[in-house]
Amino acid sequence: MTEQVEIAVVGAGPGGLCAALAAAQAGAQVALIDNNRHPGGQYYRQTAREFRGAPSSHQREGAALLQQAIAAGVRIIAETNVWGAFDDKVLALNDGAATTYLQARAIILATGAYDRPVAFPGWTLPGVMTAGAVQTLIKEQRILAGKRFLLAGTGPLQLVLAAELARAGAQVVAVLEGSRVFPRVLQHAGALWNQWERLSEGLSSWLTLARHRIPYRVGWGIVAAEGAAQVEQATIARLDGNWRPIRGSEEKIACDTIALGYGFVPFNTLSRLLGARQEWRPELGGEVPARDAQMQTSAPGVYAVGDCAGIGGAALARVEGQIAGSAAAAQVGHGTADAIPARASALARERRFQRMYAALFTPGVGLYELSQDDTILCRCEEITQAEVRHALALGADTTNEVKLITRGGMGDCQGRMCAHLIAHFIARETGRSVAQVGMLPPRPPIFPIPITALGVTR
Amino acid sequence: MNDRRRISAEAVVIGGGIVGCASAYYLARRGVQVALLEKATIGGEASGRNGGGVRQQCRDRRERPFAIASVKLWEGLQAELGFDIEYVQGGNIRMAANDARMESLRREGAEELEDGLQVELWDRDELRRRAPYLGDVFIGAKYCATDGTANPILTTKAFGWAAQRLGATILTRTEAVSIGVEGARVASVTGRDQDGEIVVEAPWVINAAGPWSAALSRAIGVEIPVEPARSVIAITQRCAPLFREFISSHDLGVYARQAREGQVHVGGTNVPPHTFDQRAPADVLEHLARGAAQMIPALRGANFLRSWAGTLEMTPDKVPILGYVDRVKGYILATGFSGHGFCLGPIAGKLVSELVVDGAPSLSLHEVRFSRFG
Amino acid sequence: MSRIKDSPEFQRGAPVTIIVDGAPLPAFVGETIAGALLASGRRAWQHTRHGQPRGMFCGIGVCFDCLVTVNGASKVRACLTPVAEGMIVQTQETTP
Ligand SMILES: Cc1cc2nc3c(=O)[nH]c(=O)nc-3n(C[C@H](O)[C@H](O)[C@H](O)COP(=O)(O)OP(=O)(O)OC[C@H]3O[C@@H](n4cnc5c(N)ncnc54)[C@H](O)[C@@H]3O)c2cc1C
Ligand SMILES: Cc1cc2nc3c(=O)[nH]c(=O)nc-3n(C[C@H](O)[C@H](O)[C@H](O)COP(=O)(O)OP(=O)(O)OC[C@H]3O[C@@H](n4cnc5c(N)ncnc54)[C@H](O)[C@@H]3O)c2cc1C
Ligand code: FES
Repeated sequence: MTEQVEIAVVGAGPGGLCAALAAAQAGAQVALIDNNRHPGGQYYRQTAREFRGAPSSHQREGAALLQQAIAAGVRIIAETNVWGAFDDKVLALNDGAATTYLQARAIILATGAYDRPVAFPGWTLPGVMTAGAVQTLIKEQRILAGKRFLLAGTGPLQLVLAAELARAGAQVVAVLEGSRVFPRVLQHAGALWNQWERLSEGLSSWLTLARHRIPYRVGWGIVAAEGAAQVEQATIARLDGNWRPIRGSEEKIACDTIALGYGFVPFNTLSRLLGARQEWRPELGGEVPARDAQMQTSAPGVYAVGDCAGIGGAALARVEGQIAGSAAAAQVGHGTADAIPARASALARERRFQRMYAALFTPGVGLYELSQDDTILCRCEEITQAEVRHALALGADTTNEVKLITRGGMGDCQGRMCAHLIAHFIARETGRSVAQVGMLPPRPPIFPIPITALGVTR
Repeated sequence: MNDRRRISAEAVVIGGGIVGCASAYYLARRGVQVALLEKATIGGEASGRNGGGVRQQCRDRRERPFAIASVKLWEGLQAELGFDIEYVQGGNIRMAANDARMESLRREGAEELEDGLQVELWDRDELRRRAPYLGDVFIGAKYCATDGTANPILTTKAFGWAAQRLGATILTRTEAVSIGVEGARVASVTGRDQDGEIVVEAPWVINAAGPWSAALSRAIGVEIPVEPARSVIAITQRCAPLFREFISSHDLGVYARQAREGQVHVGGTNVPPHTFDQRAPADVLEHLARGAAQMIPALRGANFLRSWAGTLEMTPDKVPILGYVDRVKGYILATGFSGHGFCLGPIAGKLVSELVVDGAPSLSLHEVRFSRFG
Repeated sequence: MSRIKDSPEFQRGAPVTIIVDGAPLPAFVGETIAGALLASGRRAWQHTRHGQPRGMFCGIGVCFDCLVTVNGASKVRACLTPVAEGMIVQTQETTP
């Protein structure tokens, strides 16, 4: 059965919540679908509802936004995956038990992002995980994923995580920042204007680091993880301007957990499935849908906001969500898009910050050169760099061709982990650009769904 | 245009599917200097997206000898192409869920035995014994032990690589835009790639462009009755080994095989015609899920991981078109495989090479002649 | 690899026991299987086809490294699946 709704919003993070709220406030009938146990997305990640305790300010803000959305009439469809998108704006939903279809007159995608995978020798050892994984486990379950953490990556979120770990009683052996931030941040000082909340969060994290004497090593990065059955130590090195390890600078550092925080990859599968034209924008995290000023993609009536359309953080996601929510509501006959100019200055401010962030924290090419021939690039199918190299020797020169020959990208994660890694390797070996080498085409369901749940419709 | 490039060959093949690649391979093996034009990538269409079934049973009688001859080739392919194409003769089971179906399988089986194809008829008990993983909706089946499966993409690519090793020129991302005819004979094919036009001069042109073969041919006045149709496959995540046969039921409208890596591939036997659309619609995925769960109850605990669609090249009688075109000398059609071209690809390629080199094929092409459509 | 010792006002969900490969594992309602395993000190619970150990990598359900079998259902993401009293978890050898 296919239900009708005026506006369907996918993803209940900051972007999706604000979009749904704006559209509902304009008078539209809105459904907001999210696959998490608790709506809120990454930034507002809620503590398990069965726990009792004082929520953080982010969590309070997220919970309040959710309550506002519900009060404005938004129908929340939680713990439900959108596994496919079809003609005439039909979304296929699955809650693990059955499939339902939702046909919308406008769709707002706010599916967020996931941590950027980085392949280096030892990166498949237990104990190597993404910074987001460590962060999520703390926020949602108040659990530490390890004892002695090494944080390797880039950007201020690493500081926030290090401070949180320290406050929770974990040992943080070092925070490695790949970018040589300090001289360059001054060139972008203007973008910090009116970002007091961020600055104060950064400063307080910074002070926590200092208090716990956690080394913050700028211009350093991970090179390898070592250990028998799990991580026991890491090899780290000083990086050059392209993020290539400088030979001779290597150091060993003992740790049991390596948290990788090298930014995020936009989750653009649904916009691709809906036919939205994509662009390769490394500074925005990778492949993202092209959009107009109202956040509409090239597919009419399909909007994309927040990280899934280009990494920009929660504040930008909120503004984009508000704009898309009003625009989509106006499109289906509710209110006018008048609200949009009012958001212009907030949008401009966040875009400035986004540009600064990208300029400072977009990893250099060296990050993709850490893998060796025996390093696994595709975790699911356990395909090594040597196997990809062999496929290139056979004539493959796109990510998809490599997938067909090696199985790299055919595994359970649908290529989300390896596509970027394989693409960068092909680009480097063939001298083509990553844009030419391409990403993998979407192949629904975008998450595996039980055969019984697909065969049964509600 | 002075930026036109020209190359010459003894034969030019249009289309880098299994039929085109096998043609190029067998031609090159016979010492023919061959060039192949592929608009995208080798095996990127149906040949690399299909169910991987290599089946002789349940064929139209006209097509049967070709399937039998093709399987003879398949048996030696792995060694010949020097690549692991995952070919196994795991058998093929066509199930019946009602008496009428069983009766038609019985009739077909008798005909197959007459034509020299070894098949077995299984009653309900035999089916339970031989294929205990099947659901209890089936009352019997027909089985062919020499049928099997292979990896579609790797087989097609392996043909291309082998042809290349034998000296064939393979031009990918090169679309054939026209066929040149001089007098009553083909003379060239003009292709287009990112650098512009390229003309391949050759006295033989093989049209193996699958569902796109008709469009190319129309311009030289040869109307091929080939229509596109969509076929969808959904696959599960890896499962423990469940079965090795290629199984199908026209009563449920689904077929399945388990790939060597453990994923179960499930396809549908009904294909909507007249479309080049390669998106898998939701109702088809639902149909595959229901069919899979009914056909193989153990899959009720499995997940579908992904799906894709491919475009078939259907003829009005669902039998291929293979052979010369009387009016245009040197023009060979190898198209219209109507959903069976993966199995038939090797023999089709070999016959094409015989048409070029020997002027006479080793199997009669009478039943698959183009002129049957008058 | 531990539960954070928060202030006394903070409380986890009700204590439950899940069965992991036949052995009881204490957990609290609200935790995920991956959370409970990690809190108990276990880093790896899946083995790849090539015998490599894997545990949690992405933590948000996108990488599929953390798969377990739960009450007979295979390929369940431990990082997304909340624990429940008596839940039977088998750590998974990927097949074949
Ligand atoms: C693991 C992780 C942790 C992060 N932690 C922080 C942090 O602590 N601080 C910070 O400033 N930034 C953090 N970020 C960055 C974060 O992406 C942004 O700050 C912000 O959350 C982006 O908001 P958004 O609305 O674009 O998307 P998100 O907040 O990512 O929300 C997207 C939502 O959509 C859901 N979704 C995606 N696809 C589907 C689908 N097909 N069907 C149904 N639902 C779907 C997701 O599960 C998620 O709930 C984190 C990112 C990640 C990946
Ligand atoms: C989902 C599905 C399941 C199937 N299952 C089976 C099965 O189990 N067993 C079986 O035997 N068969 C099966 N088939 C059918 C089989 O795949 C096809 O019959 C066979 O692949 C046809 O091969 P081909 O080389 O003629 O065509 P194609 O594979 O379609 O190749 C034609 C090629 O020509 C290229 N081309 C087209 N126009 C031009 C041009 N102008 N210039 C240059 N290149 C051009 C195309 O890009 C394409 O690569 C299935 C098909 C599908 C889609
Ligand atoms: S840890 Fe990545 S899916 Fe669970």
